[in-house]
Amino acid sequence: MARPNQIPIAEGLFTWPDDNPRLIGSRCRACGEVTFPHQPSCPACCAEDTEDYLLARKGTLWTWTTQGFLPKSPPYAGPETPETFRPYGVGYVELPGEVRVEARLTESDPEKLGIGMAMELVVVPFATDSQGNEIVTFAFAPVPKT
Amino acid sequence: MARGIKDKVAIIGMGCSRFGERWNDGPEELMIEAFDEAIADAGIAKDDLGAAWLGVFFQEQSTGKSGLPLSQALRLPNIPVTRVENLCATGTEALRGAVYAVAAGAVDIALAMGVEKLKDTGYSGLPERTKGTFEDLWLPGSTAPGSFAQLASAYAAKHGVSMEDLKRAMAHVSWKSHENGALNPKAHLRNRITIEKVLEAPMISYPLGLYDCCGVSDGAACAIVTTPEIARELGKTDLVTVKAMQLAPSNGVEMSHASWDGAHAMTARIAAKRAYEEAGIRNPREELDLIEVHDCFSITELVTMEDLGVSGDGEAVRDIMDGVFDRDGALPVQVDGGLKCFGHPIGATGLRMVYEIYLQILGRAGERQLDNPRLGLTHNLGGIPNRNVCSVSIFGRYDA
Ligand SMILES: [Zn+2]
Repeated sequence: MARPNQIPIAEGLFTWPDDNPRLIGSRCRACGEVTFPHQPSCPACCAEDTEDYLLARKGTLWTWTTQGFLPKSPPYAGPETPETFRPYGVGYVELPGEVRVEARLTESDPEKLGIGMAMELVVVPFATDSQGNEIVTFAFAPVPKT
Repeated sequence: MARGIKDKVAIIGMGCSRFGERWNDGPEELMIEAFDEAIADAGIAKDDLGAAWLGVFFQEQSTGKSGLPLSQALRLPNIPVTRVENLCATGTEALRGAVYAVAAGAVDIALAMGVEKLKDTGYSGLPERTKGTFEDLWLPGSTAPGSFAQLASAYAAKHGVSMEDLKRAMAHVSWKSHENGALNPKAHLRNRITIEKVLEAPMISYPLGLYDCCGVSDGAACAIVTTPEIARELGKTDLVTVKAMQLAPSNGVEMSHASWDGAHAMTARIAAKRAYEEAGIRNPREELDLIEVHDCFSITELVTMEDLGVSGDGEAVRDIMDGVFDRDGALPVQVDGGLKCFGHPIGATGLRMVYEIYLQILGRAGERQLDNPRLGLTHNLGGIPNRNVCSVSIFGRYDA
């Protein structure tokens, strides 16, 4: 649930605030190709006619790793220091019939990650900016088995 | 109908600096070290050069922009110098420019130089990237090891290989590079390591540990090319010629739904197929005598064996464990230590690989000399598995 002082890491990347956030991609009006993030032109047929397209919230884990060290900054903009850094999951999630999206995973334990498992989009805290706003970004979380 | 590059261009001189942490040398000294060796080998004068290509990846840190760094370092006779950059294929791209110029008949003799000077920028790994091809701002925090680690996860899942078996095969890859690097006086890392040490190393990005990753180095490598006819006029008898030079960049379909399985590099298979056609090779495992691949990570070398068609799909683990690619195996890979141990000065790397093929074919590889090799292949994979620039080139004896 969005709080007043939360701002997304980039505009136009996902619907926010939103109880069921969606990634904002684009779909070509000419050929139907889906891309993420949004782009105004289509790489498949070279038409310059695309529309915003909200991607599926659920997909499957296509491949993954656990990032075991603090990435260099820049470009990495996370708040951790070498002392506070904890390994985090990164993977590609295949959104059926749409596109593959690289994202953070909320799970980082290799024992709990497996190719093909069901994943769901979530929005998670990432950092705090100089005005005290909480920067949020998108991630995928394993869908609890019911 | 184009007939390709085969045997239209000969390499008449090559040079390579010592790779490593060259604190006391700038890019100028590294380029001069490589050039002095190459021009003496070619037996020509600087004024005989008609054009030059310079490959540098991180020009901000290494040399500055443009062709000037090469023109000035060698005080070339005001010949055209073109600076190229194409990720980790940069050095090979410099060579492709020089080779195409000679093949076109535009110049008689051309120089290709690759250089990178990174170690005193304070970075380990690769320096920061700026705006461009890869996601920025909102990127999820994946890194080069993180991207290639995912190739390992996908490979294990696709082929039903246990992570323990895959780790052991990857460890063999790194062990082999250290064994070979120990015999190379120009290599950055010349220490031998044990399989156990690789397996026990700290995890970098699961399942890649420290010894599954190559570093970066300072260094330069260069080639002087001309036509076989001019090479003969210069008195060269043992000619090494270019058999194929192919480049395949990603176009984005890897990220489209269901177009790619994630367990190999699409571009490598495309470039390899074209290169074999250009060189007239039907059975690469039988016909090639040595291979230099882009072993930025151990998993990259493993998967590339399948992408190049020298191992069947899902069979690279077995071939590696059988020692097929060891120095005394049927098809040696990374005889010079590879990126892992010879080192990885990015702009020079492609030319460094050609240097080893060239030395081996001419019988000049010293302690690591193979028995009468005739055909060798080089491979660069710049970028990450789903978005990369892949080059595959083949060189050999003129009569091969
Ligand atoms: Zn389209």
